[in-house]
Amino acid sequence: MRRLLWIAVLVAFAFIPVLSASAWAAYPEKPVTVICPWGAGGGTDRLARFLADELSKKFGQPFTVVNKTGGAGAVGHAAGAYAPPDGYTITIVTLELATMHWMGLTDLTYEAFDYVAQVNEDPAGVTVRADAPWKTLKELLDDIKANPGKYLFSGVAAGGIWDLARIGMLHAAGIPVDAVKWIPSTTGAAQALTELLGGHIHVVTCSLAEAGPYIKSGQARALAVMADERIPAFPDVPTLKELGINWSAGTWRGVGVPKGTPEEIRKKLEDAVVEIANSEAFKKFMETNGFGIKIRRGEEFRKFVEEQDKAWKTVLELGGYLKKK
Amino acid sequence: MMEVWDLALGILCVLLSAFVFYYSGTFPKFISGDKELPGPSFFPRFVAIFILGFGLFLIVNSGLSLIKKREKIRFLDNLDKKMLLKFIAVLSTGFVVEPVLSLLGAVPGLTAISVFLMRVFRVKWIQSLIYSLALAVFIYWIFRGVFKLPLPEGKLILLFRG
Amino acid sequence: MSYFFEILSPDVIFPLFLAMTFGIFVGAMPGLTATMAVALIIPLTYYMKPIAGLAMVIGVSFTAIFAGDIPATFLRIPGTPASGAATLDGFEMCKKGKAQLALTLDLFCSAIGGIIGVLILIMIAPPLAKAALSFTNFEYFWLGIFGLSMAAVLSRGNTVKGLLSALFGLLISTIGIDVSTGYPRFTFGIMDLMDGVSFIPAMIGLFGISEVLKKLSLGEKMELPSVKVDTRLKVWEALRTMFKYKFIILRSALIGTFIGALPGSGADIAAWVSYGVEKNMARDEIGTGSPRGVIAPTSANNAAIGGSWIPALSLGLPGDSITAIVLGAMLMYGLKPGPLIFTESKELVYQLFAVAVLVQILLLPAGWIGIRVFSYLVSLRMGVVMAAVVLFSIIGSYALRNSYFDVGLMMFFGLLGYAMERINMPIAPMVLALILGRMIEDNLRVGLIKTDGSYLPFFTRPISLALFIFIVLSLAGPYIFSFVRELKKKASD
Repeated sequence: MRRLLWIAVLVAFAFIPVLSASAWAAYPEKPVTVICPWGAGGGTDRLARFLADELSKKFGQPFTVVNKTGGAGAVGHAAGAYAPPDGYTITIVTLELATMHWMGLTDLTYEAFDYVAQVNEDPAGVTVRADAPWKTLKELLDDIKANPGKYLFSGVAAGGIWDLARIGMLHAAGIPVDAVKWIPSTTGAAQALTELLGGHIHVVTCSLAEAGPYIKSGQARALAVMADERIPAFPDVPTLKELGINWSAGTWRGVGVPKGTPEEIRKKLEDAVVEIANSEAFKKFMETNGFGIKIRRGEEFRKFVEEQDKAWKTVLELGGYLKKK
Repeated sequence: MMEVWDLALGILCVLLSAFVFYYSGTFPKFISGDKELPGPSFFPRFVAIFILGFGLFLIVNSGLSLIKKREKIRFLDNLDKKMLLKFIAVLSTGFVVEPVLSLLGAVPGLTAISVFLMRVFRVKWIQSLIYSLALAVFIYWIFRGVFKLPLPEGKLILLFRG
Repeated sequence: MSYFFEILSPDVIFPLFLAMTFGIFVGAMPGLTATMAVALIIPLTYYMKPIAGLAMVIGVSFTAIFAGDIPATFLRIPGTPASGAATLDGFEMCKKGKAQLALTLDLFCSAIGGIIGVLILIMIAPPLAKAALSFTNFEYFWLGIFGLSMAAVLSRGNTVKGLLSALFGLLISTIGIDVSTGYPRFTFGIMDLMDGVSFIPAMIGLFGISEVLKKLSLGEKMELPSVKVDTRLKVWEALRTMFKYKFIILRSALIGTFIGALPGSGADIAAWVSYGVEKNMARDEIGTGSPRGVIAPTSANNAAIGGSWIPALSLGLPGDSITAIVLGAMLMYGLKPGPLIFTESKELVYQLFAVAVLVQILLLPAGWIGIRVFSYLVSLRMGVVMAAVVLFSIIGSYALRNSYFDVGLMMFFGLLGYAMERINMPIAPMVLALILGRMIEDNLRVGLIKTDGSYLPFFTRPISLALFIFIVLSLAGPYIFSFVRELKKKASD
């Protein structure tokens, strides 16, 4: 017993951190916190961890991922936005930044951030069962027009991105948004796809990346993708624009810093993130995770978020999710 | 003795369900198409009805047997002051952990909390110091070292570093 | 094939081994349950490969359930609730000086029971998952209700309080953003509550902290009675006995698996039921220190763990409180338990099966070490163990999402759990309700959206109807049974 105690004491001393005086140097001179507004193990978390690892290698300082979840993304985004604007807290910002304040979940808007770079975008798709009667999107939309209230759509919880994508698509096609019913799916696309394959719902509007395994295995079919251009993984799937419907929607992820962060630091991060996003390792990582790559640099990213913010307001209003002030 | 607790539980149930009914009145309605479907307040109220029912049952049941027994009503018979203090001591660690860790840092902070707890549990001073240090280092090693979970560094240490 | 070898790589085997050691420690410590062991180890797995994390969880649960039998045999104190039934004949055998035989039997039967449970899991889960594709909101609603009703009825003690415990859990589960309107309910403006009460901190509080408070309030001497423990195993005698009672092992393991697979009932109930079955068959022998009374519950409780994974994997429905935690953790790993897991994460599921079998084999050396180490553990002061539990609870609930709010929440649930125990209100139904609540409510509401507000499909779809009748029968069954018996008695008088 006594020997055990001695070992315990020795171990304890061995682990007391060595205090090292750090010399003054350019950014970053101490560890950087990367805030991920979503839970450990999810898609955004994996992306955050990959970026953090690569940034650590580039800058020679640890970039540590902190998961701050809650409030449907509001907690993490707020923590990132209100951190000291010194470049030592960066945030993985996601699409919800442009929707949640309209829904009254938070007061935080996109303006609380300065933008480093966008690295990912996944457009929504229109996926049906392999044996569904509709061969093209037009057939589906005509059927919906003829039978309002009959068809069930799903993909995410009410007011989530795929619900909004559906609302936007119907609106752009000139169909009342309540012509189909939205079935909220609490655990996201997986549950909706299970329901689709079981024949309990008719259409899922989640991203093609999420529906990918079932499309490839021949259990499901994609009728369209809500993007500006066809996506490389599914070259046969037409875009809505080709079909004459002016609408595109999807999720996106990028890196942001609190507003007021010194421009040199933001620029330094931007160059690093863009360099990582162009690397082979990143391409491979995104492919295995089924994410699409879309790179927008700081200023361009900012404009994009601003547009998104406006676009979603209209759609949320159509869906009745807009919180009236 | 049990009857008193049952009575208290029953009253709590009634109060709770009343609160649920009152508070859920502010929830929005849910309209799908042109029909009003069960909305956010439906399920909490559904549960509250059952809680109310069981609560009333408990009140009647325990009330009846209390009247029969005519026992003196005592609540905290074997819950003496010393024990109450210990309870508060244990529970408080959950609320002081933030300031303590952010001031002292993970290992010293955890050691301090652990020593405090062990003293509450009547472990001798020297033993609790040694065990606590080992425990704190173990936790730090697992969470910070192996699992890369950020634990606070401590303002005091940062002060030393300048 | 290569993914099978992945489970033998150091970054899976090493955590697995660590977890099994941890499982032995927690399981053998009276008051520290297997459920708690799993809850405490989950925060350590947040950032690991999913299979490594799952391996740890599986390793902990099987070893902890076995290790609970060690103090049950030596001290007549069940190390985990699942060892309750093992205290009876095990301790009697110990008094007769046959503790080593009892524990050797126990260890072997645990491993065999475990293997049978896992094999049934491997055979049943995939076809069940395929069948479950035809399940939708209506069926899942009834499954949730079924899980809940089982928990409340089977929780020993007071049925009214069991039901109340479940109802409180349901009420707590309604906190957070509503499924159909996105409205935040009962959050009182606290952003941390918007996604609902985090399950793992609540769990850690209910099982961990409440136990510490209970120990404090009992004013128990913070020390375990020291015993001289003989640790030599009686391998040959045990094997001979097991061969003699091979059908009992099989029967108990099958009962255990079946009960484990029922939503809401876990290893503790499985052990009691199989013990009860043996007792009915050999009334005089059981209870007097018979090996049969050791074999039955110990085979059953480990088999029940395999059984509880059946609904967890194929339906996404917790079989007991351990799988309830595991389901939460799997979502964190990015896995979606449910019918599609066998197509979406096929490799991982097979790895998981392989790990589960591997654990049974590793259980033999780990259990042997456990029996040896137990004599050291009893010399460790209880106060030290308790402080460690509090510390792990704090860091464990903080680590989930770096939130001190969750630490406070954990402490709140600790106090709640203690208060509930004090007034004889079982905790298990609340824990199940916490995880089943959303499932029940969401499926009810979404089902109603599908049907435009009609409740009919909940009763007219064949599987729904079957489930509904089954639930009514299982709830009313005991009463009908005793009513009929009463009638017969009157008739014969």
